[in-house]
Amino acid sequence: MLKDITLGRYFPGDSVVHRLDPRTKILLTIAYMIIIFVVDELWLFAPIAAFMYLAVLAAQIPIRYILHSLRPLRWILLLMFVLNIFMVKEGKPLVDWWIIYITDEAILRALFIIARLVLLIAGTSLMTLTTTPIALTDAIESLMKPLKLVKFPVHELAMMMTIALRFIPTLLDETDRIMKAQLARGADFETGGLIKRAKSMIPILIPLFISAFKRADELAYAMDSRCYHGGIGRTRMKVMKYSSIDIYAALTMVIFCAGILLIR
Amino acid sequence: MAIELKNVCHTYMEGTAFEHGALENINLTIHENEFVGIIGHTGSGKSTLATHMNGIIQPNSGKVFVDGIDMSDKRKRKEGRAKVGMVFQYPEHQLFEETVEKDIAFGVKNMGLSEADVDERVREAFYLVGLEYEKFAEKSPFELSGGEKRRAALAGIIAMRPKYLVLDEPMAGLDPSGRKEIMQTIMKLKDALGCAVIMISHSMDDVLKASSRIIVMNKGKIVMDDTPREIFLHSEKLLEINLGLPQGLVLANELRSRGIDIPKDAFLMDELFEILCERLGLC
Repeated sequence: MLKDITLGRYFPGDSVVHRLDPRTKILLTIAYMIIIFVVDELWLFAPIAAFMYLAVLAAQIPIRYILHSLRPLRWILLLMFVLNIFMVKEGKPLVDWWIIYITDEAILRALFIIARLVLLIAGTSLMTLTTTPIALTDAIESLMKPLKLVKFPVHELAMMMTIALRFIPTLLDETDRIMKAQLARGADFETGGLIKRAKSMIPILIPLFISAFKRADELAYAMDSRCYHGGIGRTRMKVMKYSSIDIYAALTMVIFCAGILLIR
Repeated sequence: MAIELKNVCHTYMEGTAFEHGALENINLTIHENEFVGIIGHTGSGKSTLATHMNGIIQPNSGKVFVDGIDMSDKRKRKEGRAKVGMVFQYPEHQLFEETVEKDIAFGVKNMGLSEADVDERVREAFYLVGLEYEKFAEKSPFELSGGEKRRAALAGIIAMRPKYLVLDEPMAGLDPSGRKEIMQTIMKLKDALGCAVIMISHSMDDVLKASSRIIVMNKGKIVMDDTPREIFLHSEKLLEINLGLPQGLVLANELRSRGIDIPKDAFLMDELFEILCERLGLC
């Protein structure tokens, strides 16, 4: 049932992209996002899409995984498309019938928005597919270190994210188990009106909260008994290190961005 | 009338990077009034097999029938599910109501019975699992001890009066006296309700004591399906798949290796005790 949800969606592998330092991946993804927002002509998305495609090939991830990550957003994409087609009034009219008024400019702009969003999501999901959530939070902590100067609790935030991510699969398993158990007692989650359905969630939510609180308590004790006292003076088991592939990847990205900016 | 599994296969997370098989071509019939023990390693597919028996998860291929009801049929499934009581691992985690009585009544109420019937069945369930109604009915289930919580959870299933009772590791995480009590409760239930019991366990001793039939699972397949006596006479097969042996069998083997003549089919503790007494001339 719930096991089919692929949250965090890490796709295990040992490709060049997987081996990149997570910090590099975050920075490259940010660069990629910036370039997508800088581009202001539709045809320029073609080289970006090609670049993206090559990156997916290098990561050895089946393209359907990337497409799958677009699925939850299909309605939003459709809505954006439709809104743009009808709201934009500039340009040469193509259809002008009753209340429907569509211009060539409108279609171009709708396509532009869709291309931008699709490439944006594809890029970020390539990052999450090739990086474990824990590596990502480590990288975020490392990249946000300068914020410590303004007393921002970087380590605490990263620890909270790590714990939250760590417990997503555990709590999903738990929910799955409780749901099955209540189903076996004849609980019905699928029929009835809104109120009845909301009420039918109680037998799941109460045991789930109880176990989540219990786990939180146990985790706190476990951390305490291992003398955890926050970020100061704490060393890491896995030390992140930039290697030559990070330099190559960064160079490729710089050349690519420069290229796009030049043609523009 | 029986639970029948026909060519059942199940794969978790099919079509993703995390795909793994859990059941491979299972054919199995469980008759009324049987006491079936299912043993196997963690990950051998025994829990997955049990969950198929009331249609909570559906096979990727193959069919499950409960008393002839096809469990893949969405409309009839509920009727079949009512016949199969399912007690999951650590069932006390599913308690949620304000009082023990309300929690035990949850399943029965979902069956749509009259209030008088519900009350009668709930009281009966209290009695069968050995909880005093007067003492526990109004308590919060979260105030109970570990063993009492498990009984309360068990009672919630019993109250539905299933024809087949599936128990997944009912003794896991209890202390020895708690284990013994639950085991006795299960035996008592079987007699009182006249239901079939399907019990998953990795404790050989528990399975040996209670079962009339034992199914051994390994890597998603049924490797042995026979009476306890036959299974343990072929104990070398169990050792092959790294399953432990019951204490009595270990003791019998040990005695034999020290030159004491023990009959080949004696491995229950009581049997061994008698044989040894006889040898020593104590009785």
